[in-house]
Amino acid sequence: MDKLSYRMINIGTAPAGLLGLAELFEELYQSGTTSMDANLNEKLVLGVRKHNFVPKSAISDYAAALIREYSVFYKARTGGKAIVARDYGQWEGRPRENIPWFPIVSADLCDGCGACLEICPKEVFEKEGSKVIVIEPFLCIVGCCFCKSACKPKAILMPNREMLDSYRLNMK
Amino acid sequence: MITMDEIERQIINEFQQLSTIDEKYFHLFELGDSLPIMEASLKNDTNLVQSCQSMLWFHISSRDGFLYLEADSDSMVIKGISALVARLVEGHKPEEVSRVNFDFLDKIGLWKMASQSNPGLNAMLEHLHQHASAAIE
Repeated sequence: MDKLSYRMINIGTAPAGLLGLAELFEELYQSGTTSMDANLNEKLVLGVRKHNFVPKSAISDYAAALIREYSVFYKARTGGKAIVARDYGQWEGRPRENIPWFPIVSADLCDGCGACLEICPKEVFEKEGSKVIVIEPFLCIVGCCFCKSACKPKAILMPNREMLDSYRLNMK
Repeated sequence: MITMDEIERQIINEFQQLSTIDEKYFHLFELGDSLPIMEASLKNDTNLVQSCQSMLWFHISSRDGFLYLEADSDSMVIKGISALVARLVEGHKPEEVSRVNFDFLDKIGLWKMASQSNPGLNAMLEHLHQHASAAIE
């Protein structure tokens, strides 16, 4: 079996690493599933469950996150953009995608002011309607949390430095 | 004695030598890591920079009429910025420090308008100004 893709996405308020997401999205796209498909959440959750554990209590959070991600994928795919696995580089010898360092924006607290978009030198955020969402978590510079300091409604959650120190210790 | 304007120009020049955002960040983090370890007793409420979302302590001391800044933070980026601020403040008179601003941060090529309406930076600046003004009195 070919090696499955691995990607982290925000599920509710926590990051989760998922196997086979790129393959699932491509399979759904090829089968004609649009981002407005009535059974999209079911298809996505079932597909993700093939290679990942999805707790029953978190199904609705998973569904919401997967629909959001698939919508972005679908929009890009139908817009003619080639979906290729992006190389996010490494952090201290590990693939960047394996380091859960990225912002999580609380949709409840975000007032859509866009200060995070202004401050971020990478393209981590995007405005979606009246809110800001994280579209490229692994472009976030490991160790940076400047967006958090720019966020007046305190809607941005970042991991703490101890987490990075633990990764460093475990890598030795 | 090197002026604060000259130090700002040095910092801007130093960052302009680095071509990528990642290199600039790495340099900033290294500067933060190079700050002397702050004594635990100095990490008190007086030195805690209020309204900054990260934990940040600024200890401003005066020797022979000149100010010195010790800093520590749980945030790598805030600690890096603190290292730049410490460099700027070191050995300058309270009158000069009370007028300092962070406009130079907009010119190091990391952020667009970092100094404009950033609550974290404003909190740092306010803390610095307060302590510098107190040292004048």
